[in-house]
Amino acid sequence: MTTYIVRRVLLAIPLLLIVSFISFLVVDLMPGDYVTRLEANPIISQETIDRFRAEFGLDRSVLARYGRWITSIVTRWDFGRSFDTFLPAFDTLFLGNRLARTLLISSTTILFMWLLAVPLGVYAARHQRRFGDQALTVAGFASLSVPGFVIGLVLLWLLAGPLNVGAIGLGVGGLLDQEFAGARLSWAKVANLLWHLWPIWLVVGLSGAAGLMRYTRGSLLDEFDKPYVLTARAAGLSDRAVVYRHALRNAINPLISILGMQLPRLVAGSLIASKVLGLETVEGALWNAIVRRDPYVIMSGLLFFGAFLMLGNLFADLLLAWTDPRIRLD
Amino acid sequence: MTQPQRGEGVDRRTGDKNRRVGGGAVWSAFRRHRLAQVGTAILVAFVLLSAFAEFLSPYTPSDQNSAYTYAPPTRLHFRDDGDFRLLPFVYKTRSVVDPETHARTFVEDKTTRYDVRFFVRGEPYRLLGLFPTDVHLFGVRAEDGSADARILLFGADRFGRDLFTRTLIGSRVSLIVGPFVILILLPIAALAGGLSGYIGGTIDVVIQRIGEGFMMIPGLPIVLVVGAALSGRGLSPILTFLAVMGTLAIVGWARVARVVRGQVIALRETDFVTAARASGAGDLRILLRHVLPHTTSYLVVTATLLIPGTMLTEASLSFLGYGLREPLASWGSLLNAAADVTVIGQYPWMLIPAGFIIVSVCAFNFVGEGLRDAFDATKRWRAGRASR
Amino acid sequence: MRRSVALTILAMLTGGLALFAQGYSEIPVGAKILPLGVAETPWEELRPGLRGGTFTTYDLGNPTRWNPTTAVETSTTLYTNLIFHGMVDLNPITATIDPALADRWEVSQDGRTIVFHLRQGLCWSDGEPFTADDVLFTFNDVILNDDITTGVRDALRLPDGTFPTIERLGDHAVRVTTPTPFRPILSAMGQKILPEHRLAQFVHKRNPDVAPGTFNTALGLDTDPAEIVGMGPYVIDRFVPDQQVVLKRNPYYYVYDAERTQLPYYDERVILIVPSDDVALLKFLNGEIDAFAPQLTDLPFLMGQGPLRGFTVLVDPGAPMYGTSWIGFNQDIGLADGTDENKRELYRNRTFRQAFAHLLDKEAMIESVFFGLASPQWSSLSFGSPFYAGRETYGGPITERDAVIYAYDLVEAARLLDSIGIIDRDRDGWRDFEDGSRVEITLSTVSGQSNAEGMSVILVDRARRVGLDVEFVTGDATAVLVSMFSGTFDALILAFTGGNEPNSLTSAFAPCGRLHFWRRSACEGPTDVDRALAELFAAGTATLDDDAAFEIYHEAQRQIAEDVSLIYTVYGAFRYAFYDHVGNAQMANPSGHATGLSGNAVDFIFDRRLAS
Repeated sequence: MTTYIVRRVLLAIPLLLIVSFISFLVVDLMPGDYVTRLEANPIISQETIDRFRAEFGLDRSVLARYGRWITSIVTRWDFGRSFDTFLPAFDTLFLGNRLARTLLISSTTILFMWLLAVPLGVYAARHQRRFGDQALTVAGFASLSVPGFVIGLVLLWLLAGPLNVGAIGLGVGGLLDQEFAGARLSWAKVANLLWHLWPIWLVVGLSGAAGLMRYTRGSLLDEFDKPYVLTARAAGLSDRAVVYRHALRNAINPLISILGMQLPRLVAGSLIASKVLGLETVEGALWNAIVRRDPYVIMSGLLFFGAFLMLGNLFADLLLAWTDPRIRLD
Repeated sequence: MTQPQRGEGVDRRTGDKNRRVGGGAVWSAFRRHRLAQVGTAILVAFVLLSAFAEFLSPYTPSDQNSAYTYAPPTRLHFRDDGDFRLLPFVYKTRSVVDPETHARTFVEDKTTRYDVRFFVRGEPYRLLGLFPTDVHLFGVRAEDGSADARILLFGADRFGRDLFTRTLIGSRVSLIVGPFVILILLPIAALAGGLSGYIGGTIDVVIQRIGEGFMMIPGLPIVLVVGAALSGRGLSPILTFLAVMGTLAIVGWARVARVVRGQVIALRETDFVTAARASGAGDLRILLRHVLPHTTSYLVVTATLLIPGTMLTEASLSFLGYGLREPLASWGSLLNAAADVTVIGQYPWMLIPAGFIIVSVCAFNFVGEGLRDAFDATKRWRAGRASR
Repeated sequence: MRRSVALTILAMLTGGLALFAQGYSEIPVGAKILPLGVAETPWEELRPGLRGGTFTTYDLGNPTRWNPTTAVETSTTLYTNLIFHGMVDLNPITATIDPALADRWEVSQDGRTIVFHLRQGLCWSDGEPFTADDVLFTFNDVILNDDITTGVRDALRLPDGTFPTIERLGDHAVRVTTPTPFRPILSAMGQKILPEHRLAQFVHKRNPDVAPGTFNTALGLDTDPAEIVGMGPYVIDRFVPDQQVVLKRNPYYYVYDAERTQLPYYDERVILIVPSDDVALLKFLNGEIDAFAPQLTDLPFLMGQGPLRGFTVLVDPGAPMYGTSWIGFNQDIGLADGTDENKRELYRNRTFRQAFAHLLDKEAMIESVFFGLASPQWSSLSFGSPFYAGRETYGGPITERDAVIYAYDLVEAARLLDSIGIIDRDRDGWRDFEDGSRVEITLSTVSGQSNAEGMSVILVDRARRVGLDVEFVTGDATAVLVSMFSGTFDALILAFTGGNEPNSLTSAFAPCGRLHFWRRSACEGPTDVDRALAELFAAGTATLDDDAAFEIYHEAQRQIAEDVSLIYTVYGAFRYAFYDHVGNAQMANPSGHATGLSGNAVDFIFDRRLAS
């Protein structure tokens, strides 16, 4: 197992290098650079602008800059600096609690998706073609089809307008209300956190949950067709035992294999959520860097998400191997 | 239990004796799938709406009138002062600005009535891109030709542009974008997966590694960066947009290729392939003419199921401002104008395009589900094969 | 016995230190007195207040650094304006130059020397005395130091490219000398003064142990707040990334009111970091934010809610914000590769530009794009500047005398186009060049800025009515700027931020100016207007008499307007919402007010609720 993990990680490094080079090229393709915004200021002279460019190293060729960047990563673990803050690129991306916040959002959303989808999928499969299943089918498709930002907009409006939650503190715009920001952990703080999280779960994870529910249902139904299920029923086992103790366990396997595919959607969904609901996440910071043409932050961000996806896929594969003894890591 | 003959079989779950197998079976299974029926009907309706958009809209998408800023949907009436009229009509609307709050309200002026006429003459256009004409399905006209007569079925946006017209015209981009991306993605995925699975060896390893590399590229951020990279280069907006969407295809092929590869590996060992090889046919030829066609079912289903995701991504991109930009319209970019809590609160009709997105994505999902169920159902009866 | 003596002495010392750390023991000699509420002063409408309370505003996005000299954007100046002060400042009510850290100055007869007399007895926020050495350090060792990369230096650059000389004249006086009189030097000397005792260590010139350019990264986000020492009303208490910045009162602030209460009134200033205007609106409605700059679409909603929730919304349709919005044609189009001769000639033809100016239906734009809350513009200077050409005199009332206005007149536009040979030759409804090819204009603007997009939509429609084919496209902000600077655009509709000082126009309208983007070739081959303007700008800086300068700039603005190289459109009005419990709130508008000073930096707002 360890050799497998090590091999995967080592293999990923050249891939990450390629991703970084592609990102570098694409970022360079963007018209204008960080200094362009400065140029619109009437007071600043051409001399100063040229100076800024030289200072930021923007006057050198693409390959030269890429080479310097890679060298600085390899020798000093220095991913470059943000032109905005002059802090290291990753410090800017992860300013304050951003990383923790982003990971908290991602992990709780995945939990939400599974806790919502699997039980509903099981219910739908057990009551196939009856009213419950049909209702869930319609609801599932509807949820699959709503874009995340629409959910976010409507929620925002609901919370601010008709529901008017003003007094309790808005459920959006940050993960905690003012008063809890620096406070110590308490039940009230956790409650406040959850109150801010649930709109995020809906925006980021609702469509994923709906898809997962459909998959669960389908996968479970396939299990129901299999001989061992018929045998178990014939042997007199209750429906509950058949489903939960036997069929479900096997049905879960294909679901885990698509866990890896959920990750890019998680990243995209977080980006949308951070724009619409007003959260500062690492995706949001990357977006800001793209708008401001802050090259090292953009590339570090792309690298980070590349690594995030790779690790996520690795984790999903390991999880799959653990749950399904038939799968051999090779 | 007798082996099912071609054309008949028993559905183990429901005991239905009327199941059929083979190509015809797929079609009849699909036809009977209720959701797929609904989905197909919706899609056909939208395609027609889209094709005849100019005919069905009373105005052009850029036809603006500052007097109708954020006008609510025009109400159709059939009853005027107690008299029932056969044809619907609208009242003239005036906008009143409250001097203190600067709020604008629209008031119906019941003294002036404009009948809704059908097959009116309006802005010229080319029907289906071919036939020049200027006939529109409906419209209203004031006798004196003033612009006070306006029929805004979905209300108007900030510049007084008819949202109904813009939604219909916007449907073209929104509906095309999914198939467009898929048409780029599928050949790449099929070829890559096919070569990888069929030839195996080093090519397999190389393609798989490249694929893994592509799977590590974070989709939305990269598309955003490409969108920023391509803007302002003097490319026409539509070309920029297509290039951005093309990037989505390039980013997404790897996953589909992986599954194609799995299927091809399984198919590699079947009799007809061995026979083809024995007859001396080249690898590529076998791949293209024999193997890949058998993956069609999977590809078709995948395509239909990938389209909703692509449409949603386009909507998100346009909403963020990095997809289709003004003055072009897609449903996502129309929603960009509604991205404000006060706008939603005061002018909720601006969210109507969201409804169109939801319904069309749903329809694609239904169709995809129906296809998948249909192919799965027929797969069950293939002699000697389990369903997975 | 000895122990208790030692303890007593210790107590006295700590007590003494504690007293010392809490500010001036008595009002300093050089304190600035703000005559709030005093009759017959510009401050008479305001009221003196009581100390206490917290005032909360907001900013979109995190600050990027705390360094006022290397700052390049407003997210930084929001904070540095609260922490640092300069020798002079802008009066928020009259827009004149007020004494700040300098209490008076003398200009020599020949206009080449200014002596600034600094206030005496002042201390930095850490208690160290403020002297002329700090001023010299700021200018000679930082701003004018070549090692350090800063845009601020350019504000001091003289027309001949040199810089003023700044010398020490004693502990509390500095002398500034220029080779020729340069009128803007007075306000240019208002740069924020830095503490020498804290920051000299980062400047290689003063401390050879550090590398040159270290100062560029000094006062970054990772600096300990206790190290950030200034003369402004507040100092940083803490910075919580993505959440807020909390500032607390500077105990050594040098401004007092007429009743000898030390300013600022509010004990604390909190700036909430919000990710979007939407969230800011919600927080304002919530009561979390005290002052707010609403977007146009928010206004009807807000105004209805105001009386219920206890806030006031101020709009003045007649007072546009600082900035100019304009349309520019690329008069050098195709010059580099010898193409597009037709267009180039057309864009260079003033009659064409005048015809286009007549196409601007400013009324419709104001109505539908700005909900009635905007003003038409004709001049290149902002409405609020004392040099605005619509005024009677310098800083005088606005009468729009001699204004050069192109009225919305489609008939006139058509006539002018006809007169230069741009007519519909092939009867397809669109005007063509002499050779029969259609005139197609592509107007670009930045996407997501619905004001410019809205104006474009209306313009395209009006142009169509006279048969002119205008198409508008949008792009990413940076991409549009690049096309502007590289001369690859066709026509642009954009905006410049504004200010009071007309000399900033030089960059755009002098023939070799860096922002003369619509016709770079003018540097080699200036037009008559270019030459006339260059002369006017030179004369405008050479005279120190504001009234004389006003006449000069008045003429310059008129010539610019007549030449219509940039066609001015409309600009949005000030709009502002604040809770009624904020006293003197009318001067705290986050988006600024008619005199240009950002309302975020005022020190005389107070909490009304304390009075009870």
